[in-house]
Amino acid sequence: MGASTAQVPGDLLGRWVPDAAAGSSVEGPFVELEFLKGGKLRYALKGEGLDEALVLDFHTEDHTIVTRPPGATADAKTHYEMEPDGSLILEYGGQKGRYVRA
Amino acid sequence: MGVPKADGAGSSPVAQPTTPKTETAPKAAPPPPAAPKNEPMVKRWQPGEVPDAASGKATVFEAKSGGGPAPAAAGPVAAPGKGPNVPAAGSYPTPADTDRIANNPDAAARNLDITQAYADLSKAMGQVVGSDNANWSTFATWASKQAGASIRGEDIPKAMNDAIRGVAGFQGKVDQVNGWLKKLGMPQIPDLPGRLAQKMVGAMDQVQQAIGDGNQRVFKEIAPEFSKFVETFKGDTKYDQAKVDRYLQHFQPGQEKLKDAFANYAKAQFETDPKKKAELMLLGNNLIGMHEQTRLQGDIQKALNAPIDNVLKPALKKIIRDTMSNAGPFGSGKWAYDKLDKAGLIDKAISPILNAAGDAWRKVATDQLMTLATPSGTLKLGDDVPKGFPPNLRTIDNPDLKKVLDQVDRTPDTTRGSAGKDWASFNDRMNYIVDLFRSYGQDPKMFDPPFPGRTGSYSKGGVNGS
Repeated sequence: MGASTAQVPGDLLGRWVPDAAAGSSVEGPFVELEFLKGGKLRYALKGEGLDEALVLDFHTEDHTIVTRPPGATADAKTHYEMEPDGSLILEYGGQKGRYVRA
Repeated sequence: MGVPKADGAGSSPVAQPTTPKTETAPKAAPPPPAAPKNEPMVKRWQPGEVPDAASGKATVFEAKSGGGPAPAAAGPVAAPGKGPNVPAAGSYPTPADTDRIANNPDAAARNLDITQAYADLSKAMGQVVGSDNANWSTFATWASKQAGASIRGEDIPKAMNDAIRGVAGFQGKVDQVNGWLKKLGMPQIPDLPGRLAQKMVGAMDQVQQAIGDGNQRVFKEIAPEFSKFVETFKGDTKYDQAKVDRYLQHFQPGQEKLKDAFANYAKAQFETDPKKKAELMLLGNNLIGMHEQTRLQGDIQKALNAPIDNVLKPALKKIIRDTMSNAGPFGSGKWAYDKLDKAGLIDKAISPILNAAGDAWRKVATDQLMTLATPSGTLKLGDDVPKGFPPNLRTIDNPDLKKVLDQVDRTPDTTRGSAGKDWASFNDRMNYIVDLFRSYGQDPKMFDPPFPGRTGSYSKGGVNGS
């Protein structure tokens, strides 16, 4: 699975956190996503002393983010939408998650 | 009186058919042959013969049956009667028989054998010391039979579900876990209470196993003592202190209460005053009850607590891991779970919900453990003993019995306040048991056969150690 800058929509780039993890009073671990220009997705766990990150190659196909997790034999596909308010909606497991700019 | 739940499913047999009879004194009919070594000592139930009550499919004493007495088909079964004071060889198990029964690896067959053996020892004791008063083995019969009754699967999931949802603030704890997942960008877990309840059902198997183990150990220790007592004192015509003293020498350190119990049974054998005799029997029963419950304490605690760590915690973690692994974004869920778990953050996140689920589990498990079906009705051990004391036990004169009751009976001379609250508590159990023994000890139905129409069949060899 190759990654190319051309396949990364500009509005996806940057750091995102779940809206539940936004704000200053957040307790406990949370995830932070960072979509990079080079087709890299930095998936990081933070909080509660955690600072772990997984860097994945990704590209997009229409409204789908395609990744290949380490050790996996198949691509993972995550549907996404950009909301008018600028939030990012990711859909997985039959549920939608709202992310906001970190 | 462990009131345990062992696996009662299956068809195993303990007893061979006999012709119905309403008196229990030994007959002149030739006793069944001794079982050869390494084979069951009693004939197995044939598949078609196994009554539902014995197979665990149902019991004639189940709560839903109204807890009434055994059906008419069982025939009126009188208490053993004083008879000739000499139980026939082969009508009750020898210590070797009890050892073989206890060592049967088939838990269901073992439970049935134990139940029948307790009943036969109870009857033999009744012939030796008199049957106006139950002995400990009389009660043990019903506790053992209860142990073999399967927990009805259709009731447990609902009970678990209700218990979980009844824990104060449980939904709030569920919301906490889902909120925690949400911050990790993970899906919510649908119907977490229901999924936990399903896992808790499986945990009941561990309770049955643990309590079954305890019951086996108690039988192995106490049943041969009844056998030795019967063998030693049957046919005696007067109290012989020197003989009693010799007999008592075989008890080991740690068996002081057992030793005292059988010493009091020996006194009861020739006591002619009904009240004094009743008190001596009650004293013996209570002392064995205390010894037994001490032995069972570890098993009961383990049964109630171990599943929380051994079943509930792994089950909850698996639910979270599966949710994250199967439905997390970018296929990153398993990686994230492993990192969080390694940092101890999964355990931390589930701790509140685990504690709440543990409370629900203990409630359901305790309710299951705290039921005892007897021929005089099904007792819920979380309620007060529902019957008053017989006239000659309304007050207690025997100073040794008073001393024992002072230790464990929180509400002297009344069954009010006898209800057990926490079955993992030795004191709660004994507080109930002493009133149970006192209230039901003169109920002739307690001598009813556990499997009507059948009796045990044992070897006729001598009793070692007597």
